[in-house]
Amino acid sequence: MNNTILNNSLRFIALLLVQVFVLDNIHLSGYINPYLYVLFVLLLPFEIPGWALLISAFAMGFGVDMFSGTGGIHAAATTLMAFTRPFVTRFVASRREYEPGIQPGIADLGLRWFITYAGSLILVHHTALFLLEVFSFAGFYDTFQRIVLSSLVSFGMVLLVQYLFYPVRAKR
Amino acid sequence: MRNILDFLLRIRFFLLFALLEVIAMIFVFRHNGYQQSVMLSASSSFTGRIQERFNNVVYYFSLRQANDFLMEENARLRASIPESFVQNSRQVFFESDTLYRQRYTYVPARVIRSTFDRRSNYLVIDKGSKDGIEKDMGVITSNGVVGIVHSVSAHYASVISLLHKDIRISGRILRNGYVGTFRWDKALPEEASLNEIPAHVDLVAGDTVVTSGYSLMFPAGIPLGMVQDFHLPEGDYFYEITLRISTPFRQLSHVYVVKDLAREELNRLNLPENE
Repeated sequence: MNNTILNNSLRFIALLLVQVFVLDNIHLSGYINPYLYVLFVLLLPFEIPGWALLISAFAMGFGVDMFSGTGGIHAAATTLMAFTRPFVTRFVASRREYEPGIQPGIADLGLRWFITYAGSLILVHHTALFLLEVFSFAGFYDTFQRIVLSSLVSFGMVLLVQYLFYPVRAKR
Repeated sequence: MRNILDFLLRIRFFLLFALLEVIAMIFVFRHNGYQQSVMLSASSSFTGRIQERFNNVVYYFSLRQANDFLMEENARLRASIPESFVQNSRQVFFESDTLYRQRYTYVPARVIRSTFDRRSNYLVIDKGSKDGIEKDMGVITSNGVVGIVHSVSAHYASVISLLHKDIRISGRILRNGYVGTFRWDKALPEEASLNEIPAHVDLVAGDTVVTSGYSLMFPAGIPLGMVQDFHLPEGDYFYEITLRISTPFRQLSHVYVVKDLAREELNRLNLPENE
């Protein structure tokens, strides 16, 4: 248990630093801002109590807000994402049961599960984030374009990190 | 009573979620509402210090460009000092002449963080209230307008970039003197639009647009951009003008904060509803 807390804390700090100092300085055309830090919420263990899930997600978003001077939009979007996570895990079918000790990731639950799980949560997060950023539905097509493109890039990065750091063990 | 408690216990997940969202929203509105909170400036002095460390490293990569800009500006300024003028008539006044009273002074600052691909972009500069920076001061470079100071901590200040969806700056077309409103409603950090130029004005692509001097933030004549493209929508009285922004936001490193010495006096003239 302590190990889990330590692991997640380290991941929190690492993702925050990478987001603020590396990704925020990468500018892919005018439309795409990748937000890799959502990976933190995606990888929190299944056993985490609801309050801890919400609060740690809020803290993650708030950290990004503090560094990029965006008020509270990341905090709001990340909290919403954490709130929807239990519903998504309940509805996304996996080839294995959610037994204790299982980690939300490709390694334990397979690629197809992870794509639906991460894809839908990232879409929730980015939709909330970009709508809060413009704070209006005017120019919705433009915002929509940003949401879709950035979601795709963020999702690609999340997958990449999954394959780099959590290699699929040869067991099936 | 039991039932209510039971119910609250059952929806506690949702309640916590709602509470956190409300907190986040308070931060959003605080920030957008131009209210400088103690929290924000305290935190910006902490994150500012970390960002400055990081920027010290990245700074080296842009030294060459920064040098070029500064050289160019030095050359221009050198050309305007009294020593480079010859007195050819009694009509020439020097700076020390009592006919001129200084209105603007400039504080040089370094950009330690900037974004340009959001809808609301901000910069952080390494000068703060200790250096006399105050909220609502203008920020420029040698190339043009950068933005407006938004909040200040002791050693740092955050600046609303020209590339912000809510920014409005009055811009004058240099050639004919007409004044419109500059807005950034485009996706790229190179493009913006100028509104409220009436249909009878004759426009040419390439016209320079500068600050009008009507605001208390910028002196008149600081470049905003160049007319790139314009057309008159059918049945409309006003042009739709696309500007090419003159400030290179992708490679910003040195800026100047504009101090308007006449600001207090002019503020006192303001009507009460402007407060």
